[in-house]
Parts: sequence; C-alpha cells; structure tokens
Amino acid sequence: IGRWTPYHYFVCHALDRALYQSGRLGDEMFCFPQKTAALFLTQEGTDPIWQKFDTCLDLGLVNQAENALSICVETFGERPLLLQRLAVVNMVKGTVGAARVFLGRLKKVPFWSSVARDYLKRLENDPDLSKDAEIQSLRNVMLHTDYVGNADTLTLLLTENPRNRMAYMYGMAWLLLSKNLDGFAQKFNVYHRLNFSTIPKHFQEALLLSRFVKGQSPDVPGWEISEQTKVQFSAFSRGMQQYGQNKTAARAALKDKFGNTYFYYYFLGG
Amino acid sequence: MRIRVFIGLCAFIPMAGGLAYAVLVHTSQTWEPITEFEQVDREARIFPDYTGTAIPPNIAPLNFLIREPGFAFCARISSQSGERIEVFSRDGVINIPQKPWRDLLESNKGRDLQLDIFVKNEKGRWKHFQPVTNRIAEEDIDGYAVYRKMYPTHLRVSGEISVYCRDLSNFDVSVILSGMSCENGCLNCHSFPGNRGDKMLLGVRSKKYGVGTLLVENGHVEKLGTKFGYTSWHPSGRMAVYAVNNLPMFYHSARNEVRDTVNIDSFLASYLCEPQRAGVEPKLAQKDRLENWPAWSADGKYLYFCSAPKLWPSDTSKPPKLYDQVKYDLVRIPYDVGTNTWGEIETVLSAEQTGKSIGMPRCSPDGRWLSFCVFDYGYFPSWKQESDVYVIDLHASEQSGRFSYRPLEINSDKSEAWHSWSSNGRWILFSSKRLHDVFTRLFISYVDATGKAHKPFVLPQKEPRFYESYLRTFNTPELVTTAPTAMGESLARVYRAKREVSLSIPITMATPKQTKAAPISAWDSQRE
Repeated sequence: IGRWTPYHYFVCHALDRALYQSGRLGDEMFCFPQKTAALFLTQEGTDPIWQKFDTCLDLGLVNQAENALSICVETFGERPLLLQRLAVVNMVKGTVGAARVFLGRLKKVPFWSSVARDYLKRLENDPDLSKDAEIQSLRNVMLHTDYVGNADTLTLLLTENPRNRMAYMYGMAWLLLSKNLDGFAQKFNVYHRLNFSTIPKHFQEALLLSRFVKGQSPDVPGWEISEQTKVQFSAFSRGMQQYGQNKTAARAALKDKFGNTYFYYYFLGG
Repeated sequence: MRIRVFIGLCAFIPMAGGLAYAVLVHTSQTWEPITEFEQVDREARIFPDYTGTAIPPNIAPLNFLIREPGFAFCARISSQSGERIEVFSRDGVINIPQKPWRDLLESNKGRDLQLDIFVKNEKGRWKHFQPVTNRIAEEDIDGYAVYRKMYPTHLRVSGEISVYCRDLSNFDVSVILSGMSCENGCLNCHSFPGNRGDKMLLGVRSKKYGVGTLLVENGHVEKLGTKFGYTSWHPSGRMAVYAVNNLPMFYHSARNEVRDTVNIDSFLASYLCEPQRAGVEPKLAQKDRLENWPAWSADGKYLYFCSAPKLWPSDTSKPPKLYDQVKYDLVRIPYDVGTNTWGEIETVLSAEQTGKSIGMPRCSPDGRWLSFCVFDYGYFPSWKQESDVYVIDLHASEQSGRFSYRPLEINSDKSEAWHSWSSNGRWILFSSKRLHDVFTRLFISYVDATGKAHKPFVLPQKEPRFYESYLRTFNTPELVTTAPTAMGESLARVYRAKREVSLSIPITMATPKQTKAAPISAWDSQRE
C-alpha cells in the first residue's frame, strides 16, 4: 500500500510501525513516501489521535498513551479496543484497580468477554503481574522520569534505558526525516553499538553523507560502510552534479535509481 | 389470511404461556430453610466491603456480592428486634428488599446489625461464615447527595458532565443539570447554604451560551451573569463567597496521576442576595497571593480559606516553573453579616507547619470540626495520591488557643478529598480513589461525638457490581436535607436564555488595589 498509494498521513505512520516491528525500518523506510509529522502523528490540526497510543505505549510513554486513550474514550465512546488498551496501560503502571474497571466494562462487550476474562485471570494468578511477559516487557521500557510541558522524550527514554531499541530507532528515524545529520551521527556514536552489531542501509547512507558534508573520510571508525553504499553515493553525486540547481529535473531523472535511498530524500525529497 | 393468523396464534399462545410459566417458576422459586451447615472460621469475602462499619438508619440497602465459590448463596440480616431478612441467590448477588431493610434499621437505631452468610457447595452442603457486624447509628444522614459525574479526563469533549441528586434512602437518581442540555457545557461548584436543598448556586459555562451561575431558590431559577468558582454560602443564606480562578490543566509524563492543575491566579469575591450585587474585599484579593477554597464557619462569623504566595508573574508559562513549589496556608477572616465588615486575616495552619499544602476546608454544621485536605503541593487534592483529610477540633482550639490538627481515620494510600458534612455533623461524605485508582468513588463515614471517624463504606448501588465496570468518576459531593427545588430543563432553559442578572465583576485576572480596611462594606472596592 505504501508503495502504490500517494503519501497518506496515517498509512505512513502505520507503515513505519510495521517496518520497525519487522526489523526493516533502518533499511527500507525511504523506499516508501515519508513525512516527518507522520512518524509520531504530530501534524497539527488533525485528529483523531487514537492511532498514537500503541506507538506511545511501545516506546515507553505510558502516561501519554493513557491520556490519549482516555480522551479517545470520551470522543469515540467506550470502544473495546480502547478499553483493552487502557486496561493494559493501567496494569503496566500497577494501578490494578483501574485496570479491573476497564476489564469489567470490556467483559460486557460482545465477543470481547473472553479477552477480558483472560486478563482478569492473569491478575488473579499474579496480582502484581511480575511474571507476566507482556506487562513486564512494557514495564522494562516505561519512562520513569517525570516532567511536564514539552521535552525531548526520546532522549529521556534513551537516557533512562539506552537499550530501548524502539526509542533509538524512532529517534534516529526522526533525525533522518528532519535532515539533522549532526544529531544523527551523535546519537549513533552513543547508542548504536548497544542495540545493533551492524548498520542498516539508510544509516550507512546517512553516516556517509554526514562525513561527506564535513569533508571527512567515508569510513566510520569502528564500523564498516559497505562498498555498495559508497559506490551508490558516488553515482548519485555525479547525477546531482549533472542537474546543478534544477531540482525538478534531478528529481525525475534520479528517482528510479536512487529513490529508495536516503541520499535522494536528503537532497530531493521531504 | 384468517387461517394463517389463526395458526400463528395457535403457535404463539402456548409459547407465550410457556415463557410466562418459566418466568413465574424462576421468580417464585422457594428455598429450603438452612438448618444444617458447616462452620467456616472466617468472614466471607463480599464486595463492596460492608463489614465492621457504622451505617445510617436511613441508608439504602447495602446490596453486595458474595465472593466465595459456590452454587447457592444466602444472606441473613438481623438485629435485636424486627423481622429478619433472608435473601437467597444463585449467583452470589444479594439484593436486599428495600422496605424490610428500612423497617429493620429504623427499629434498631443504635444497635448492631448482623450479617450471616451461607454458601452451598457442589455437594449440596451449606457453609456458614463468621457473622459480620455493622453498627446502626442513632443519627440519620441527610436525605440526599448532590454530586457531579464525568470521565476522568475532566475535559468537555462530548458534554458528558452532569450534576445529579441521589436519594440516599433508595437508589433513585435525578439529573439536576446535564452538560448535554447546555451544548457540551461544564457544570461545577454547586453549593447549598446549611445543607438546604431549597437554595442552590451552580456554575455553568459553554462555548455557545457563555458563562453564568444559576441561582435556585424555592423553585425559582435565575441566571447570574458571571461564573462562580468554588463557592460557599454564608449560613444565613444572605450572601456567598466564591473563588475566581485561572486553572489550566497539564500532564505528567511518569507520575501515577497523569493529570495536574495549577491555580495561576485567583481571588475571592462576594455575592450579596439583597440587593443582588457582587464585590471584592481587598484582603481576599491580594495581588501577591492566591486565595481559594472559601468555607464559612457554622455560625457565619468566620470565613476560612486557603492562601498561598503567588510565585510567578501573570504572563507565566503554563504550567509555571514553580508549580510544584506553591503551598497553601489555611487562614480565616472574621466577618459581620449585619454590617458587612471584615476583620483581619489570621493563620490557622500554615504550610510551613505542615510542610505541605492545605486545601478544601469545610466546617461541620455543629461548629465543632474543621476538616481539610493535606497534600504535597498546589491547590487541588483530588489529583494528589497522597492527599488525606485532616481535622481540627475548633472547640478545643478556642480553649487552648492553638489549632491542633490530626488525620481523620478515613484515609487510605490513595487520594481522599471533597468532604461534605451532614447537617447534624455526624456523617461525612467524601471522595476516594482507594477502590479503583483513577476512578473516584464516594464514601460515607460516621463521625461520633468524640470526633472519631468510623470505617467508611462506599455509596451503595442497586447492582453490587456497579463500580466494577463504571468508567465515570464521582466528585464534588454535597449532602443536603431536601432535594433541590428545580432540576433539569427548568435550569437548562434559564441558562440558555439571554436574560441574566448582571454582576459587575470584571472578567480579567487583575486583582484589586490593596486599600486600607474600610469599616463599612467592601462592596465598592475598585479594580485597577
């Protein structure tokens, strides 16, 4: 869908989630249309906001997820999807009393009773859910630093837990989309080795670009940039030189060969 | 056609009859009296927890659920005199019939109420648990509770904010005003003088109809052209003091309670009934202070309220950087309703003494107790998990010259707030998150003559499982002796209408210039 339809805000967001979940975000995100606002659904003036809560929860932004979900209940009604998510959020936070209320309500929804009963049984067998794999995995990434107002949440998440892989990948994706090569390189140097042993394709492209812009050698100390990436960058550079300032012509001419690279996005896309 | 109808009827009538027969059999099932049983050496688990508490003699039946495994259940309710009540059930739900309950409590005031629970196991044998004892108090609770219900978000997203009146002797609930009838309006700060339902103020605001306060008196409704915040009627009913606030909401990234609020700026204003006008006493509207939570003493001689230093400029960011540093003192100011004169502000309990912030003071109608909330910072205890209700014995304070305070015995490890005293000073209705975290529920506690509060119990509902799946919170409860004299559309119609009583209080956040205390009424204070 991402390839064949024009850019769509919610499709783009869902696509990025799917790419992350399948371990392909760093390799393939620029094979598809991308917009910065779609990554975290931050485009102003658009609603609904219900799609945000799964991303927030998986990142560890539990309170943000809870708030978004609660507002959704008031906006859309006591929908089972929202009730189930709110139950999980409260179980992660340890506010089990509230979780039971959401599950109690979910139990009354046709076809969702068994889901609710399953969660209630889990609570009965393990009241603090210390042995519950689903809840523990979410608790492991949950943000504990309290703040109000605006803050760099991804940095906070990574500072608390440098191995929060989703926070790292989404943070890097954000920096790539924002064309912040310095920030990208900085974060790479601090966190990449804690989470990965190889460099995804687009990360290689961005690192190469970052070093090129600064007039540095293409080799990243301690890491290997593939020959293929280097060769591709050279070819792209030659292609760009051919069109000079004429970005429209360059865009059309280079799309087929380089449209799935970060080079293309950085100079001609976004 | 006629034959088809005839055949149809022939099929239908036996079916209907069969169904009726089944219903009849089901409802008229008779249970064998329990004569033999095994004794279990503990109390049965029931929900809600209606054990070991003191209950008003005029309270609705405390329906509950027996949470023990079994195939049949029985609850036997008895006291020293009167007919014993026995309720059988197949699913553990015990719905106590209202009239026998009422009769039993009425004839046993001041005595114990015993609850015997039996559960039948798969072998058909009954088990009897240790009896549960509650105390039936001598004193009634006020007949009605007025409260607001809404989603925990506290946002007017879909107009689901409404104020209700619950008859505490049964399960009847009336809608005083629904936000839906005011185009997604927000309703709050309902207040009554001296627990009287015949007079009420209720603040309303909506995008379409603006802000206003409804004044209800003996069935007559009018709209005052300004929004009253937290309001307290003078016991005489001749005037009321209300807060004018700027209260933005904000969110925490990692605290258990997601929502928070700060009082950016506030002062206290007065509304006088005859003639109708509003005014501001400069001492209650100091520029460098935040005044909030007015509460009259039982005799009307003192206005208690909370006051804190304002730690930020008027154009501060929201929330201000020091939002968690502001802590309120509990103060009072003498007042003479005959001459409309105010005395000097006196500190009752300072934030420095407690190390915490103080909010929501309320005086018991018998003049003995001053209750209030204590919590870490700010002005709003309901969103502070650590909030507890404390009490000062005003009679003892008068004699000793000191305001000694202690926690009331109703607190839990979750937020307690919104306490309201009954007209006889024996019951306290308050909000607590002890049951279901973010979902505030209402609890009732008996306060005896020594000031000891007995174990609270949750406001009973017809269906014992009600709270287990109810997604709204209850807040701002008020006990009243009679139901409000106007409700529903009669209020909404007045609110939506253009006609209103103009009260010339400026709508800005500027507070009046401080002037020397005038010996006569401060109603004519000027604003900068």
